[in-house]
Amino acid sequence: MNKKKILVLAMTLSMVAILAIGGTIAYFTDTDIQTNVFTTGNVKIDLFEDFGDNNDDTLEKLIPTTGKTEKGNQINGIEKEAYVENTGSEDAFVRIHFAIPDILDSGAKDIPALNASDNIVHWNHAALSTEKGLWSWLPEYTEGVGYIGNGEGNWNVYQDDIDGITYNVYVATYRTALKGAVEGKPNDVTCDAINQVYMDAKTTNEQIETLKKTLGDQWKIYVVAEATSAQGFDNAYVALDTAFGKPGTYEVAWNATPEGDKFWEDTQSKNEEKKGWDWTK
Amino acid sequence: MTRTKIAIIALAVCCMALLAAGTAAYFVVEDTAYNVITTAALDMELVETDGNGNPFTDVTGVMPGETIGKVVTVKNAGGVDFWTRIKLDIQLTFADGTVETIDTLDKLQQHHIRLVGLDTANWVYDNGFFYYQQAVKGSLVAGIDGESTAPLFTGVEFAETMDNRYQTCELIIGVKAQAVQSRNNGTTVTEAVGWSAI
Repeated sequence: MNKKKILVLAMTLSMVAILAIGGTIAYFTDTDIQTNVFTTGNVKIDLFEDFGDNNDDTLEKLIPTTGKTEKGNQINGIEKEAYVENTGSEDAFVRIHFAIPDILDSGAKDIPALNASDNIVHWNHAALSTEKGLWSWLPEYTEGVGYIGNGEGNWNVYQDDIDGITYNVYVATYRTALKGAVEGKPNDVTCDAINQVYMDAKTTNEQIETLKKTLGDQWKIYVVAEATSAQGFDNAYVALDTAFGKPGTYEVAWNATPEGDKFWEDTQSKNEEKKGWDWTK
Repeated sequence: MTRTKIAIIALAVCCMALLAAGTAAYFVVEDTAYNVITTAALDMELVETDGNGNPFTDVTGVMPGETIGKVVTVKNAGGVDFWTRIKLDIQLTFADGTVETIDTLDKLQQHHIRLVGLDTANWVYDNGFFYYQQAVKGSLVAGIDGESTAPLFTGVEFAETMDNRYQTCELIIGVKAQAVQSRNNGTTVTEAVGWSAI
């Protein structure tokens, strides 16, 4: 056997020996990893109300108006400015439900708001707040002004029972989507939906006493705001009705609000006892 | 005896003598060849795109009813054919900080999330992994890519039924792909051994 043959044979034997002694077999392998994050957006709003002179007890003294100021507000009216701010990440459509006791509204007629002159308590909004793209009190979407006055069919309105008292609920829809919050920039807000409540000039002491038998000494107005993502919608009414349902067809969380606004307390009667106050004056 | 015969006999005797020698010489031709043997590289690449062929990036502002394109494939970027498998690590973090590990597709669906286009024919699920049923071939030719698998899934759907509880949630989908050589390693992926620990 020549040297070459011997060498090859030796190498072969060596390799076999190494493989046999080792016992573990290695395989070629590889690993790769990827991690992705999906973050959902959020729809979040804050409802702001500037009510009266911001007394801590949220109570305001409501007495009959005696006319208008130079600026057009009602004398003895109480400031009640309600607006909505978008604090979430997504563009949103918003609307508010404004609930007032039925017996204060349109003189307790079955169909509310047919004749506002029958109201014990009036509430109003700034004329500019219902311009194109802003608030609309109408039952259907329109491009133009969102208020056309009193009358059947002119309101987005329904009735609801809150703590045993019948309320007329008026719904105002903001027709422009509020932009989602952007860090470092002010949040998008609506203009005021309403700006004042006042007692009718013709209200008498006797009417007050009668109303108190139903409403108690503290009369409440509720305001609830709703919002839904504007994504996929170009119509606020459609978006909100799709998300929540048509107003009046579902339960509103009235008591999730801080007990409604207590806007009147019977301090007048107390004063009357002390001072002999005459409400008709 | 003629001379020719004598010559032949003599030649035959010589040849016989050669055969009988035992350490005889052979006609030898010598040449030297150098052969280089190189082991090929097993190179597996996890590829994720957004459905439009672009690399997938994290997504924010996802809303109910949206489907986010996310195409997951494994590519053989080397010369070694391999078996491959994928493990999904899914975690859902709610806005209040609650963290939930999601280890089954059923749990994912309970949270109104679905993997779109999940290919359970090519990717068979077993004991925490999706196993690709065919070996993925590599390429030893420069400039020519090896094979890619069919996508494991092609998107993530966030159902319209997602309620407010899921606002500002964070869904993390971790995709871990492994590959092991297929040559001399079973005839099916289920027979393959040598997977790395994960």
